[in-house]
Amino acid sequence: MPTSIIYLEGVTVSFEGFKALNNLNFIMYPGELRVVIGPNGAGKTTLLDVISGKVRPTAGRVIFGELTDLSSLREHEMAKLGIGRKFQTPSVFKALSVFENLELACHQKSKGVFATLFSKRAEREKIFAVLDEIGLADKAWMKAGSLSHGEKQWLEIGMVVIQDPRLMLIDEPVAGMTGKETEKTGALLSSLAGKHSVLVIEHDMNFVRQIARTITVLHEGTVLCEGPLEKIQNDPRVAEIYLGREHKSHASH
Amino acid sequence: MPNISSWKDWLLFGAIFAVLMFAAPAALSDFRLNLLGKFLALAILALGIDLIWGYTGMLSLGHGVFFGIGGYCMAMYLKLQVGAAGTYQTDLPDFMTWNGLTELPWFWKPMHHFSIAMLSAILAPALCATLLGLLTFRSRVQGVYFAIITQALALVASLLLIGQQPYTGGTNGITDYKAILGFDLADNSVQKGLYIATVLALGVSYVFCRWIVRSRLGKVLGAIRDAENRLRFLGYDPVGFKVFVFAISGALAGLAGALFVPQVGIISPSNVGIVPSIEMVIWVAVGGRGTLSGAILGTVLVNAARSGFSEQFPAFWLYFLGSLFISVVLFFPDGVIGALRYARDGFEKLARRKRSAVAEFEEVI
Repeated sequence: MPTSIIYLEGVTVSFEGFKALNNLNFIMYPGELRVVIGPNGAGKTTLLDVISGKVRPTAGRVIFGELTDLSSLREHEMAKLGIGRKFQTPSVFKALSVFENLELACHQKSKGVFATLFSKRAEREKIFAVLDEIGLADKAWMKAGSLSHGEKQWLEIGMVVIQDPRLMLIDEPVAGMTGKETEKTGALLSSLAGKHSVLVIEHDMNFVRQIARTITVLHEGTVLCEGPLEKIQNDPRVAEIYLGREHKSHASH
Repeated sequence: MPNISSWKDWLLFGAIFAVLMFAAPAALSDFRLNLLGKFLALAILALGIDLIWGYTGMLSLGHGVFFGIGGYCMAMYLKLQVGAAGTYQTDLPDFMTWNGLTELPWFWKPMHHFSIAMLSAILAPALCATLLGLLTFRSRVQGVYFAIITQALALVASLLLIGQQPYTGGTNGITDYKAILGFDLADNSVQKGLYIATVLALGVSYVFCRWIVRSRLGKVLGAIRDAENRLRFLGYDPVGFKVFVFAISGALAGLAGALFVPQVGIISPSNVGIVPSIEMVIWVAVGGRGTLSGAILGTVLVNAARSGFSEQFPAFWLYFLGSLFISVVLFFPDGVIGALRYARDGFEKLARRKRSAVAEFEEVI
């Protein structure tokens, strides 16, 4: 068994009694591309919050790489360790240009006050390589706030890519994208796996089918089942939590 | 690259600097030049407010305090320069004598030296801002709560100055100076020298601030303003950046205070409290926050309007200031500079449309 890239053991997160995560165990290995699915409220985003330091677990351990316990670190320290995150609603720096957004994400080693004050030129080549990859090279000097929704999503993915993190947390990358954009995003994320470990949360089942190798299904804050696509599709419990809801909602009409 | 217009900026900067440096002292009366010197000193403070508010998005309503610390440091030096030439012919400042003090308080003693007074005028507000910044930013105090805390600071500072009359001169403040570095303050050429020093200090402060906002740190500041919490996930700790900018901002306010006092001849708690602190923010809002030139322009415009107004209708000044602020917020959220840019972009668009219309017309023919 290789060392895991991220390992959650018995993690519980409760918000005033409501358990967003309930004794969750989760493990991912380096280079893996993992898709997490689950109905609304299953705890998918909370899972990313715990791994990226936005939320502290009420109980349990979060181990990153070679035994780094994340539970006492703050967000920027986790980012420096090599955890990059794309948020559900695209959050880019609107008043800065596309180029500047990537410039801030870049420069992994110098993110202190004086390092940024005395920094030399931006790493243009690296930034333009990523701009080409995300198809925004001709919009480099536009304000990020004036991009379309899909382009903002791309920019934020680019900001994660340029950080070159060991673990990428990608929350709903294709929301608001056209079919073609979705396909491109899938290809990009697939190409990133291997060199990086990628954890993706997504609702869009076509997208999941395109990229998924291993799928984890969350339900009520805990792992319901895990495995390759066929196994998940044929699992009666998965059908139950998805279809069961549909039955109920049909019944209520 | 978006830097093409950079040399034009420097050309404009050089031209304005030359006008202030050489043309203004030749053209203006001593009285007007003194007023302008006062406004330009205040403009240095406005640069600092723009850094923290315009560029970083944190509204400070306590900059009167930092201004005051700088001003009082300079006032203490000037008061000690009076020496035995004062009302009571003692080495003790006059207000201390009538408040029953017989010995100079310890914190007054180093202020005999100009260099120490000047250094503390800049460093003491920076230190004060650093401490306050560490306390508030580390516990992630943001937005309006930061504004309230700084406003409370302004109130406390002005009350403290009033309450500690034997040491601070109380409500009257510190006034009635004679000389600076041995030169007579009543002499017009000395006042002209102070004006030149102020222009130089403003020029250096402007270049310094421009360097900050153009560096990558400047972009980090913009990111803090837009989405501070997002920035953390890129590996930046916003606390250090905010403390740094707040300290620089405080230092600039202190420098402004130190230049203001010898030109105006008095510093008192009425320069420190809540009302002046809010007024300082209005200068930046009127000029256009997030642009350094806007901060300077707004300060000079509002203060010039103020002295014009208070010469004519002293009672109406505050009403005018209030309505000015409201109309800027409502109609020109980016201030004078924003309105100018908007007009320029509009003209350019119009010109472009005209050109393309002409080209189309020629094609048809």
